[in-house]
Amino acid sequence: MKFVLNLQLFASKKGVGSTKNGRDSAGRRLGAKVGDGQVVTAGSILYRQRGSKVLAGKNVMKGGDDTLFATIAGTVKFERVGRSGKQISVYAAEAK
Amino acid sequence: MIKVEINYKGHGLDSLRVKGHANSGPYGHDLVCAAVSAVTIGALNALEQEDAYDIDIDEGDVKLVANKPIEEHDMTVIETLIIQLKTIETSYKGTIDIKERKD
Repeated sequence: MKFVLNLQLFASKKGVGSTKNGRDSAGRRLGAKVGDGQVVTAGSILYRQRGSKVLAGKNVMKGGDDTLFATIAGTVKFERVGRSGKQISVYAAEAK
Repeated sequence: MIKVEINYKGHGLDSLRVKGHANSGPYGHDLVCAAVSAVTIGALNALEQEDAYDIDIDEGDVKLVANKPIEEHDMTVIETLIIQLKTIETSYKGTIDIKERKD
């Protein structure tokens, strides 16, 4: 016989089970959008988050999707709150 | 799904290809795969015109290209193979798909 018969010649890959997983959504690019000490304008987005990982400090408010944004122009400050809390504040630039 | 492509040229066969995976059962228990493998390899072994074909056999991919007019005996073997594949296709829908093209 010229050709040897392999009864699993047209079988799916050997021993590979199928999975119903393998799907994931695109990353949401959360996290800090400015650095400590950076000067920002009013309305600038400071921190994207889900929930309140970081709290809104002085001159900072929280949007509907928990985004923190500046309410005045000034310098950004990352501060500690209590033992493990964090907050972001914006301080107006001193008048010269 | 296993895809079967049969191309005719003039009055004879030009090429025949059986490609894909049946996926009708786990490896080692895939009935459709076993049936298609058996009838395909069996037919290739039954062909007599040794120099009339280019045959390639890989995992999940069997290609036969006729480079000479096919004589009656071999044409009968090939037609039998096609009928067997169609029989499998009828009984096990969705596991094998046969397409024939005439030039």
